[in-house]
Amino acid sequence: MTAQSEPPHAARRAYPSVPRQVYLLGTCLVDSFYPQAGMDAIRLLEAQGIEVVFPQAQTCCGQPAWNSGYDEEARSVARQQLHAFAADIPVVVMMSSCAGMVHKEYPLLFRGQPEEAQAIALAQRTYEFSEFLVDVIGVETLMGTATDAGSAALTVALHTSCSARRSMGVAEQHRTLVENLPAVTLVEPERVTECCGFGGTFAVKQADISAAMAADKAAAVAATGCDLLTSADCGCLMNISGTLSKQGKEIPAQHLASLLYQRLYATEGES
Amino acid sequence: MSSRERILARLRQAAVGDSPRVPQAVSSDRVWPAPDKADWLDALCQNLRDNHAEVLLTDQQTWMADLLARLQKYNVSRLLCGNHDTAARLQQYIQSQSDDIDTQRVTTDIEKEVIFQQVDAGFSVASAALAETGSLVIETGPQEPRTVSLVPPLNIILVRQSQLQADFSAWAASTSVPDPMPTNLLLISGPSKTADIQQTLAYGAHGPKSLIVVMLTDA
Amino acid sequence: MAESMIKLRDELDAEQQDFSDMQQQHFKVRARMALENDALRNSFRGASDFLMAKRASVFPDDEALQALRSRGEAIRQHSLNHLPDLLETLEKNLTANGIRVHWAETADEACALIHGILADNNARTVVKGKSMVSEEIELNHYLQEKGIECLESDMGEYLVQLAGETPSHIIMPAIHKNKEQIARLMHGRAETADGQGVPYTEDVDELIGNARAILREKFMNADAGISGVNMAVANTGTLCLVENEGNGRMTTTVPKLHIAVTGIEKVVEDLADVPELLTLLTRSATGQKISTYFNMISGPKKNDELDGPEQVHLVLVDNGRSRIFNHPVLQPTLQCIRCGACMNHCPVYARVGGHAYGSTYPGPIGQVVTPQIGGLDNNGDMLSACSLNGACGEACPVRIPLPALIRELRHEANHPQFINAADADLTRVKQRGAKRSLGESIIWKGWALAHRYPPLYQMMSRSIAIGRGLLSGSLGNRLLAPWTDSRTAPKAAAQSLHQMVKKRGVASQPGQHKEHEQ
Ligand code: SF4
Repeated sequence: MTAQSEPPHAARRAYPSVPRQVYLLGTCLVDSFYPQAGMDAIRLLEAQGIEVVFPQAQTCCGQPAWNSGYDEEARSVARQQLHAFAADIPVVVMMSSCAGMVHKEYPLLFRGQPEEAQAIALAQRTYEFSEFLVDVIGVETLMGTATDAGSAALTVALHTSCSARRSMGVAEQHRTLVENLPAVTLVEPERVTECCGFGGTFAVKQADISAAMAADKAAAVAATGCDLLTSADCGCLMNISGTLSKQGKEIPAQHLASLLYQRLYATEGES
Repeated sequence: MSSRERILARLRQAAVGDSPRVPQAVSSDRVWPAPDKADWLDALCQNLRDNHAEVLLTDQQTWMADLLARLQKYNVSRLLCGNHDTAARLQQYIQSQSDDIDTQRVTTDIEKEVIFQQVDAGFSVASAALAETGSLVIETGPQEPRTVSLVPPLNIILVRQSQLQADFSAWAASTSVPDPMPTNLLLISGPSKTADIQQTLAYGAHGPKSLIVVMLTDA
Repeated sequence: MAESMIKLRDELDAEQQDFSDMQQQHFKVRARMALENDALRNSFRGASDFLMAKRASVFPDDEALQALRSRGEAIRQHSLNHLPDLLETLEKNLTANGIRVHWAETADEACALIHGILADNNARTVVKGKSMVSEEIELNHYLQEKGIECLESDMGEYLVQLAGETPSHIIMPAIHKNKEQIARLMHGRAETADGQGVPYTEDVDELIGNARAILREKFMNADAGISGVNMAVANTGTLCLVENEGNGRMTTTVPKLHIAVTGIEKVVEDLADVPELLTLLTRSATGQKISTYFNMISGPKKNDELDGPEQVHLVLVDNGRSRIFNHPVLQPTLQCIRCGACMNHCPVYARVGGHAYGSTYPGPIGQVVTPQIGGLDNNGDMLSACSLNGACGEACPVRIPLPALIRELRHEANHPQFINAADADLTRVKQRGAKRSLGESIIWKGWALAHRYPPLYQMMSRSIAIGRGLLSGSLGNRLLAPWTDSRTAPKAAAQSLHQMVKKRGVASQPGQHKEHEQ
């Protein structure tokens, strides 16, 4: 971590003890493009004795519209999530950017609206996936439940998204999880704190700039010589690995949940 | 209505406090660490040297001899001083020791051609020094003209160890702050410099190329 | 003239023409031109890396840094909370100190005021210290048309003026040029007072030495000096200038007449507010504990003083700031102390550089200030050049939430209600709604509809899965071109998570019991 980071997230948030039940907010990108990561997250949480609830009524957190300045549209979609995640149990979010949307932005989005109190309450019980694992469950507990310790050596490049680093402040949690995996060597690309150029609609509206940023990030990832690229944000993963493969450098990419599940439990052979 | 009145009216129309940010009271507690008093001298010297200044650690007895040696090394032939007692003593000393250095005290309006084209070095006396940043406080005035520490290529500033303070915050909160403020108060922390060409440092951008700090220690 | 010199001058003229042509282009075109210019990209990448590392090196302790940033924020917010009162106090105390205060509502009024002061004093030649506000109001251009020579004296500004360009960074104006380019420029265009050229050199010390000689001559002879102001202290009636070169001191000390020009937001209440803002400014800007000079001016030369300007004036410029001040969300824009850290940390700025923005203030703070001063119609396009990655907000020494402000401006730009520049509602950005496009708003309406109704959403995500083959076809290629020009198309999974979860029998409501796994 550089001297420029915000104070560690744990210092700003109080965490509950391990709950019996949690919601999983899968996010729309995981839903369509990385559903296996969602399944892996569910199994990982279940392995901790936590029951996972996945509301079929969930859609998207509303961030794309909010970031584009379409507040009304964002609010109407966010309202649907307030309904879908209504019960007072923790919400675990598969991506940092969506976690940041709910945790940080919902209170702003609903400021002065009838649902303001509901939005604030949801924000307070919303956790990013790795944050939940590290700060609520605990790394030692998590690693203690592992059933597969004999995995082959693997070098993993971690890309921490900007929302993980700056909005949620959970970059350390991501590192901790990867570092603690047996037989895994963590490497970080050069200029690790720099944006990969995804930025949602930015990638479309400023395609040239976005592509230039992605090319630099892809080169930095390739230069690590890693076997695998991981991140807890699928937008970044799609962006970096899509750029890598266009350049003819095929490096497998996995959501952090899949990496964790496969390295800790894969021999259970669950489909 | 004048522009002034229209601007002020628009500002007064704003609902301050309506914005989502919380107005905070500014406290005077220190938030940035300052060096310990025991380290002030070292910190000051180190910071000045880091900024390319030369520090002459000397004392009340030998400073004039030490400075003269430096002036000779810099080939100074014309030295301009403020009009204060310290400068008077320096002038007397130099005149008694060397015929090569023409030392003058400014007593009348400074002629631009002279100071820009003929003076090699300027001698000023600081009223305080700030350890944390390596800065010298110069209060300009009739005895301490502004251009003496600005125009000549070699800038010499004398300061006493007893005038050291932790940092600018400490100075601003102390009784050292002149009231009223002089027309021009300066913090000087090195020779003039620029990094405007490809981030490459070059000294003597417009002002002095070199700074010698004459530090009179208590000993 | 030697043939090689004629050739060099022609080349420099052509480059200047290219520059002004480029400035006429749309943001996207300028950005693409910058991306394709390797020398430019190297200059900016190198400068960003250098400045970020320098800043980090003077903030070794994160806790102290965060506390200092909070203090900086508090000081600036306190100043803004009392802005009209502080401006009046400042005026009163400056006047008592013998500094004359003028107020300008617009850029034009500010230029006219300054010209008036110069004309009253028969000033024909002016040296300028660094002042972004004077760039903002396009003062040089105005004075030139009135026949007044206005020479920039900050080394970077001098080089940029010599090239016929504009600054590409608010702290390091010539950051876009490398040594070789500057060597050609100085050799081709710089002239000493007696009309001599300067020899070609790529040695930085020599280059600076040549410029020094030219500029010292100018300082000595100028009729007036015009400078900016970094902070104005209300309680003492003091103007503070931060600089390394000494040109600021020259400008405010040597000529008989000194005119300072600044935005109305630059005021702070007390001397006690200054040290922390100063240390935040220099550490954030260039990674210096302090600048070489901190110049505090509280009056013109007194009768018994031997040098200094006989007159000092301050021109307080509004130029849209009182509107920013009235905006319920965007007011923190005015907290800015113009350190440039946000641009140094911005990955977009590092790639396209300052000129791509086509505005006086580039980078994140430029994206926030420019549309508010100049209106959204002409300046709204740069708002999309941000991935909202947050690096700027994290670096800002006074904690301006820059990404949130950029987002808010997108909201203003796309607002369904259009208001024009003449609108009296000061709580809104000039030309609100100017960037709303029918097509885009329909897309977002459709998007919202699809994501508001879960069955519709699930149908859509299933069709993404089914249609995933189609996306690699020609229609898909065209649709996805902005993405697929440099990336392979993302491949949708055969089954959505919604479907997989359902199949596995994961509860959809708390309290529902999990069904048996298949
Ligand atoms: S917005 Fe913040 S970081 Fe950017 S120039 Fe202003 S003070 Fe510096």
